[in-house]
Amino acid sequence: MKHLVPLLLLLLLTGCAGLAPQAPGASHPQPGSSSRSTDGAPIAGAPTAGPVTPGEPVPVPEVRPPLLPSYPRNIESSGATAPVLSLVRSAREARKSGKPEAASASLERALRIEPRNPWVWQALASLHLQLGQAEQAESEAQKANSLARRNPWIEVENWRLIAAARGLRGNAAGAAQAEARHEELKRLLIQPPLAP
Amino acid sequence: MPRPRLAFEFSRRKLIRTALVGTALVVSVLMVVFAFQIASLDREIRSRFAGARWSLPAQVYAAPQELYPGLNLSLADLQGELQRLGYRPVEALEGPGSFVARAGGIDVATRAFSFWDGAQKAGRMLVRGGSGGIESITDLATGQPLDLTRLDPLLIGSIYPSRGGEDRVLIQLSESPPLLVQGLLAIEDRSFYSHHGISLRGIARAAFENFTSGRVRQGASTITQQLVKNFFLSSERTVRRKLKEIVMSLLLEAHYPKDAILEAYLNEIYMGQDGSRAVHGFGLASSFYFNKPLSELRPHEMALLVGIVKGPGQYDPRRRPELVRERRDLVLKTWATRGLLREDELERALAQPLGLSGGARGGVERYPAFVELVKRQLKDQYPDDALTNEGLRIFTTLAPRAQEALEARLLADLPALEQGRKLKPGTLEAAGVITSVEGGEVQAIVGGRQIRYAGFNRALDSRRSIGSLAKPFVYLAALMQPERYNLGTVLQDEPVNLKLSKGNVWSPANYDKKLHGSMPLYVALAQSYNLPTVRLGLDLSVKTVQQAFAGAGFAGAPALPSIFLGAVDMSPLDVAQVYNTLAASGYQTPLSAIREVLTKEGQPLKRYPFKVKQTLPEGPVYLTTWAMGKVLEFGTARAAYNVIPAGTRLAGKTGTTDDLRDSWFAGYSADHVAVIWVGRDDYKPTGLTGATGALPVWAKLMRDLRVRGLDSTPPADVEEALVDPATGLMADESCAGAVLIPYIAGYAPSQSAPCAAGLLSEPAQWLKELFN
Repeated sequence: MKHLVPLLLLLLLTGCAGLAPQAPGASHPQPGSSSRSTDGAPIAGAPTAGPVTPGEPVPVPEVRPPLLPSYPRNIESSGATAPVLSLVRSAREARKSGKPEAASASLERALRIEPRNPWVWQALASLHLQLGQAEQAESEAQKANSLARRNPWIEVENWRLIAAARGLRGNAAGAAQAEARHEELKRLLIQPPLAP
Repeated sequence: MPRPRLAFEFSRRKLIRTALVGTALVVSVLMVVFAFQIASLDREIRSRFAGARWSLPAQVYAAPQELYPGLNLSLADLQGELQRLGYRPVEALEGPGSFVARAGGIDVATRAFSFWDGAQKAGRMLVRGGSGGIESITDLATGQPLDLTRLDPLLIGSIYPSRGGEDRVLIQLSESPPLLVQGLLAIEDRSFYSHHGISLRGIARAAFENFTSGRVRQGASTITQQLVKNFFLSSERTVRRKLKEIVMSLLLEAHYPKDAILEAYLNEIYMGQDGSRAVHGFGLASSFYFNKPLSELRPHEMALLVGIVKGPGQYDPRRRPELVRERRDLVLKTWATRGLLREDELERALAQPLGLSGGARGGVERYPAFVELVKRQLKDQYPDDALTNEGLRIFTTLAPRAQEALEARLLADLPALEQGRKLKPGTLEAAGVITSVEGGEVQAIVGGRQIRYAGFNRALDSRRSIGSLAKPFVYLAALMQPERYNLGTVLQDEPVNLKLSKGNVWSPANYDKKLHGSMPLYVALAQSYNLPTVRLGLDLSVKTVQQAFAGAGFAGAPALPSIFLGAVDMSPLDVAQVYNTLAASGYQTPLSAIREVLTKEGQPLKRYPFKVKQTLPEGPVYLTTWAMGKVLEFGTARAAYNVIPAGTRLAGKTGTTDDLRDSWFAGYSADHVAVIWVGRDDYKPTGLTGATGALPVWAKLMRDLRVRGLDSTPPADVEEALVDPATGLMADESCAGAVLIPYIAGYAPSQSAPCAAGLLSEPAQWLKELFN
């Protein structure tokens, strides 16, 4: 209850009232699902989708997420299937015990089962970042953002990973931009909004 | 004549002495030569035996079948998987590699297997399932539910040297069934453990036979002699060779223990021929003839293998089953008289048929077109001899069920297409590729109608014009400029005359030679009209369209306006690559056929991790996919929904080239990309368009694969708006035929259409055509 109040306030503040709460697991809809979030009008300053130089990652559109109290906060509560959860767990253990190859093999195996699970893409990005494979990490975090269905709990970590990856690649401006997105999301998620 | 006598005496003594010395010299020279020869034979046999004893071809495996609750795999499919792996159906579970099918579930005794990420022990489980796929998996040893397990992967081929073509699967004596080993000795060499490499009795008998028959024939050789003979394959039958063989056998026995020699024999002996591939050793023979590991062979199967050792050319089980059955039964009876089989076991074994797998050909070389791709991807990284000698274990992305669905589809549909066009049977050729969307894994490849023969691989090597398969990249290039174009942008279907460099004029026409007036951009793509496409491409510039191709993963599009209509030569695999990037929302993954490479000891050598890179913007790719969905809904591929379930959203594009030479279809679901090409090797017209040739094959394939429909949730930077397609302006409920169209956020039309303002408007020509 304590958490709900600020979140509801946030909802009002961000002008996204009228949104039906999403069921857990909605972050990667199952086959046949055609649910679509119906949030509002065009966002000012949306990026132009201009031509990309092949080989260069494309900036992910920076759109303000609607905050929904029922967005799953982690993969355990996201409705991911049991085999995927067990592979993600063994990947964590492998990573902890210094076996990044095994961790990455487990995560890829999980992606073969649920190819559009943003949490797994994020875990892969985080692993590759740790291994210094910044370009790969950035693409995977972007992929996780694409699949996140605007779940801020996923996006906040993705932007942190993107910022770090861009930093590693010497893209200071891009890193700062991503860092700002990360901070913004973090503030929205963690700090209760000021009383009116 | 003072000393004639003396001189004579002297010369005679000298002569004797010279003769003696000479003889001694000759003898010692001969001995030295002989010693040298023995020493050289010794070196030869030792290096052959101890050094790189066998060139071990790399073994190529399919992707293992994952099993978990919720997997969309029917029990019938699971049973098919098990049978493909050589698991045998039984009444009650036996050792690994057996299963019991019952109503509502299958008990499986799985095999142990060393995967790249660790070993999986043999076990027993119960898989329950229903119409929705697998419901639960229970470990029968503990009674606990299993979240995830996998079957051992199918061995689909090996990479053996082109010269000699020796192929084998290494086995150890300790893991060979005792009956096989003892049974082999009982037939081939009863005194193996007591002789010194040769059997005097055998040689005497051979000598007698050779003497009486007046020519040199093969004698009864010991296991050791047979091994030596196999080591230095040569069919000459001379006394000299026989002597060499005897000396080498004695030397081999002097150096190595019996068990090492026997193990070498089990792996070396020639067991049959598979085209250019020579099957060596019992390990490979077991999978070649029975499609299962040696440890799972039953007595009658072991007897067959032991029986054909005598002469695999003569005793070819697939060509001369009666002769081989006689030989097998003789072996079985001999085993019984030697006490290796009980009477009841003998009876049972004699009652069994030969039980060969895979019809006329072996179970191993099943998917040559796919293995060819694996070889090419490996060639860049490993020298030839590493692939053919070091016993590498290669884990690939091949999905046997997808592969077999593709094969079955092409084999079933091509005769019907030929009949429909009154073509002589066998005129048409075809190729197909299936990939997984997110991982970019190649799951299936067919390179031609001769599926089992590694001939011309059209999926990889036949580069032909792609026709209208190129159009999505023209439209994508446009949609990447949202300030200029959107799906509702009205395009004109009007003639184009383009002056080329040498004074020539290029005047493309629509396929139906008609003009269709003005239409929204997505309709032009859905109906595959040429003129609006060329006009759009010219507005954009050739370079912009080339960039869209390159972003999707093909850098070879020429700098000519004719690329707008598909004057781009690509292989089906190239097409799969560019469509895979669209299917994966603009994230490019180089198509890969390999997951892992392990050494023969099972140590990981190299992983081929997932690689993604965003090379195309997600929003415009989503819009392009949306328009490609219209291709199937009402465009050139609308016939697809005669076979595909109505609720399954797919995207795709037909492709037809000049004079109907090539019939293409490429498209995707949420999980699979599939590309089908149908045409003729002699480049003559087929009479087929993309819609009449490749499309029906593709549509049935997607149905057979039970693909997941596309997710209809737009990405974050896309919004939808109700639009009047005649004007491309904002519509409302009062507009007849208004369509909900996705836009890049911020670029939806803001101006109201006349209908929304209460004015009536005449329906567009393309819309009227749709209903006529």
